[in-house]
Amino acid sequence: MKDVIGEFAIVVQNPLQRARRWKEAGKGVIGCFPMYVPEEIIHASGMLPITLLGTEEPVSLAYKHLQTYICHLVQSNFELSLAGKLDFLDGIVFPGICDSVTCISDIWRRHHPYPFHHNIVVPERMDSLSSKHYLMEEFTGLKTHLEEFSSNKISVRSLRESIAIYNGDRALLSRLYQLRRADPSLFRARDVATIVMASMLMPKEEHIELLSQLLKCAPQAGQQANSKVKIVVSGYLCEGPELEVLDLIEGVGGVIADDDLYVGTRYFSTLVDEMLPPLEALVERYIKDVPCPTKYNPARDWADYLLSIVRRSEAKGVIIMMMKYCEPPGFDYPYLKARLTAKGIPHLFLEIEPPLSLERIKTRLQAFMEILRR
Amino acid sequence: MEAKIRPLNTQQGQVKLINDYYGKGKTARERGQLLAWGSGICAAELLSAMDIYLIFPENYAADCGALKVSTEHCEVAETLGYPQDLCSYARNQLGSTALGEKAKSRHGPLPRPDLLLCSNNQCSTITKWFQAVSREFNIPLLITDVPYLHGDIDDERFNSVLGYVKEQLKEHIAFLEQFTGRHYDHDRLQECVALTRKSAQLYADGLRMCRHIPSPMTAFDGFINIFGIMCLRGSEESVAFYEQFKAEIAERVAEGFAAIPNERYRLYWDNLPVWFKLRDFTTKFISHGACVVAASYFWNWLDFMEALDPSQPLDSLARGIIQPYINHGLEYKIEWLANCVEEYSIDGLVMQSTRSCKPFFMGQYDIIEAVEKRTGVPGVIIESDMCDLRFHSDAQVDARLDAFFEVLATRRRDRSG
Amino acid sequence: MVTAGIDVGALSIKVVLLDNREKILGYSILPTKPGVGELAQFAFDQALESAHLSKSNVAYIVSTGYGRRLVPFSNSEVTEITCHGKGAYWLCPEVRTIIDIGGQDSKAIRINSKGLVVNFAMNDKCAAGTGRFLEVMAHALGVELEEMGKLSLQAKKTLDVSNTCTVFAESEVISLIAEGHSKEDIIAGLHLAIAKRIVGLVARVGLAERVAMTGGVAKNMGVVKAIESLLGVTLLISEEPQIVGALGAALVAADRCEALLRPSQQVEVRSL
Repeated sequence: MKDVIGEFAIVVQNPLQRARRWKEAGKGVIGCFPMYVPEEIIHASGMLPITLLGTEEPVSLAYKHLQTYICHLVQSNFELSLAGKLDFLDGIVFPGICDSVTCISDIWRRHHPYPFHHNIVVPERMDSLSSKHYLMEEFTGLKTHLEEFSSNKISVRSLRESIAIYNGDRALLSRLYQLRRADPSLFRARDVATIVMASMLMPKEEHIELLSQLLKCAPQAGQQANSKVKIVVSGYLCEGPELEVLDLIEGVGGVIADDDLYVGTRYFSTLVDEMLPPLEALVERYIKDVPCPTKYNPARDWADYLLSIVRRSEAKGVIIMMMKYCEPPGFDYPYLKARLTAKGIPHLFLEIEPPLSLERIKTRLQAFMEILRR
Repeated sequence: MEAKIRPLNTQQGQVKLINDYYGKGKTARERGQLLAWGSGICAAELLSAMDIYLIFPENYAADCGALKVSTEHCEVAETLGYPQDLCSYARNQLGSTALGEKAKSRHGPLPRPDLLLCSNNQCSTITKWFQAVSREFNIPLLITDVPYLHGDIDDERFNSVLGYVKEQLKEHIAFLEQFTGRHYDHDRLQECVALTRKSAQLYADGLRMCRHIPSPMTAFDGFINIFGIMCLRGSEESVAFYEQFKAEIAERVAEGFAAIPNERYRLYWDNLPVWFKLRDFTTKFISHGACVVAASYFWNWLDFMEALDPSQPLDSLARGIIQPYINHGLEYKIEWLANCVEEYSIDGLVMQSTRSCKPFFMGQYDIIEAVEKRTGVPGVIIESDMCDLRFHSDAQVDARLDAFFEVLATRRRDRSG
Repeated sequence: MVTAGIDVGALSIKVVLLDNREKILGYSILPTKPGVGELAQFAFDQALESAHLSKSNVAYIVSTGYGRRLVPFSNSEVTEITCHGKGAYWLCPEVRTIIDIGGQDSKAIRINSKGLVVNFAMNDKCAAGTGRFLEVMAHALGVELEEMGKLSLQAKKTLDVSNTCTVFAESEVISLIAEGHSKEDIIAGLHLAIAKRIVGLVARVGLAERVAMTGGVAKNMGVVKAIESLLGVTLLISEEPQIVGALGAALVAADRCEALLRPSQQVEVRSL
């Protein structure tokens, strides 16, 4: 199992490597800004979609065009582009999930245009028929643009096939998480995050193969280590959680039983309905997906969702990690706080601003554990 | 040189308008009138037509900012857990509402709404803000989702956007009928739309007179006198006010009155006003003989409102709320500013980078660069905020503006040879 | 049973020796230098000397503070949040809120009626609101840090100074000096600025009386008065506010030592 995890780790340590190889083999690669791009459509056009998760390298070139008070993901992705590290991409898709991603799209296009540059101006509300129709038009627009660019018609059949493959990966990731919920000590938190992240950076077919291997040789749920405190981590929208932070949580005696992260359950927990016509199914998934602060839907409450994850995993506490300058979840935080407090679930709020000072985070995590352990 | 600007006489009339407005808002419930909060450039006429009292928390925030009580409200919001990085207009409202009767505004706390109407044509943040409000008061939130117009939008996509927005306005009407138990009065909507357009045209005409050299007033006068446009939607009072406004400015032009005596530099102001520093900036600009003659701020309302067509109220409202400056991408803004530089004979661009407002501040570096290339006019970025004093440093702003004026002076000397 | 607590802060190391959870036998405070491990040993030795004890008398040592992991001879480490909570509660069981302003950070801690931490908020990212803020300003004003408290009490008025950022505030101070304002008035303004930052932290964890203040800045009467006026409470401050963290660590040491000595277990107390 260690070897398979090692394979995933290699992909994650050089996030653009796998995509570059794909490109060298003569195929197309499209970079997707987080979150929720309907990758299946890109896949069905014969190109590889990868998620652009930024970089830990320091930002400097981007400051010629951007103020510092913008989220790290936008700054660091743009940095990668200006540094020429994304030159191999055929194009980029920007889902307008927030003001920062919406605005960076035009700035990016001015300074580093790609042959294919597409904005999916997603609806902000999920609660009406009109927004569903509009989203359908947007997804259709993406499909048309991809067809023109790739000179490949995206047939209904090819879209169905892509959906089936993506659902396959989602199901395997769900299974992984199921195993972890049953016994959180089975995997290191950093390994689970690595596995999910790898899925965003490599062809799904390969990821499925590796992950199937891993699940076959995964150990059975053992005696759960009682001394460890079960934790749910939430937040880190749009970026991968820093693996060092996950290590720290484990280092202070916590164990992650489940998560509400983008590089986590948000990426895979909702399947696309294969009974519906494919584009419609993708629209449905977008609307019915995990509640997100970037999507308004009064019928799908983030706090209810988070509490259900806590309940299901029997976690003792929640660590909420919000990226600095990220507005959408900031508006929901007091509400989450009130709901968690009402249920008597302790939580720790961490403001994340790369580059991280692990010392400061460790102190807070340790203090939180000292509270939970009483 | 006088270190003061002569305010418009018309402005005095605004004081009563504002006090009455907030006063009447407080008693709406007693009168049995429904009250709604609206976002700045939403299709508020839909509500005016239903005789629903409209309150705009962004205007309240501007007022709190001018009185310098907004920072304290923001601090209160932060103790509730709202991060300081959130829009300061939002934090001002969230904090002042939490303080209740202890709110520091001269109007007291905002009156409790019965429903909310919000459009994201200005930013996505506002929908999150209004969501938080709707949760707190447990009241309905109507969102008019207006897709952003990137530069690559073609006719087909534009029509798709227009169709979506129109559908939503119809949904809002259906909801309002159900909520109020009354039939929707489309004639009244027509009236409101006509009145809003009239006010907007008068106000815009006044602002456009700043193209005159010397300028009869400053853009800051425009900021201060925007109340009717913002808050008195579809009203006769607003029309009356802006009739006076336009007339007074026209008179000034006729007299050759210069807002800044010996006007030396004509400036453009980008982004939101710094409500708590209007006087300080004015003093600074006067000291250099500079007059701020244009700003993008107003056109968020005016591009929308001047496009209204009373004969097609719903259709033109939908078109209108898609149009504001801030709902457009970078190329549009560059084009817009390049034209503005020419129309208003602008010498320099003052780009206020408002900490709280991403749609306005993202791209400013590129706007300066592109517009300077096209027009030869230089720009400077100053960092501040509309409402949160803690993001403002006088020393930093002074240093940058002084350096900027040195650049302008040097260029002028070089030009005159 | 004698236990020890070692608080390794960014600016100073504090050691407290505690007897049976009842009496402080001795303590030491030394400025931090590189080579923390050795310095901690030296501080420990000094405290022992002042109490006329030797290493072998000490049953258990807990280290805390920013450099808690750099003390090789401690038995375990615990965060300063827990330790300040415990220390303040021991000093006065009515304490429910603790304000700690140290050299490099500031915290607000809420404890319950049993003295256990229920909530905390920290500012350790930026100098404004910490002892460092006052150090920088003292330098800008040309006064000794220790004089700041006394000087501010002579102020005729309290000026408004920014508290968002030390650099902003420093340039403001320089402007105020140039404008001819008195040092006393400026310092009063700075104290109010730092107090406002703290009050923000306290509001996040919720204020409950009694409120204690710990950390070096508690010795500055001006800051204390400013906080008291903003919160509307009288702050409890011990004779030596800097050692509260180390005291708390010594209390935790007593708990942990006792846990090891439970009758069912045959564990020898480790002698050092």
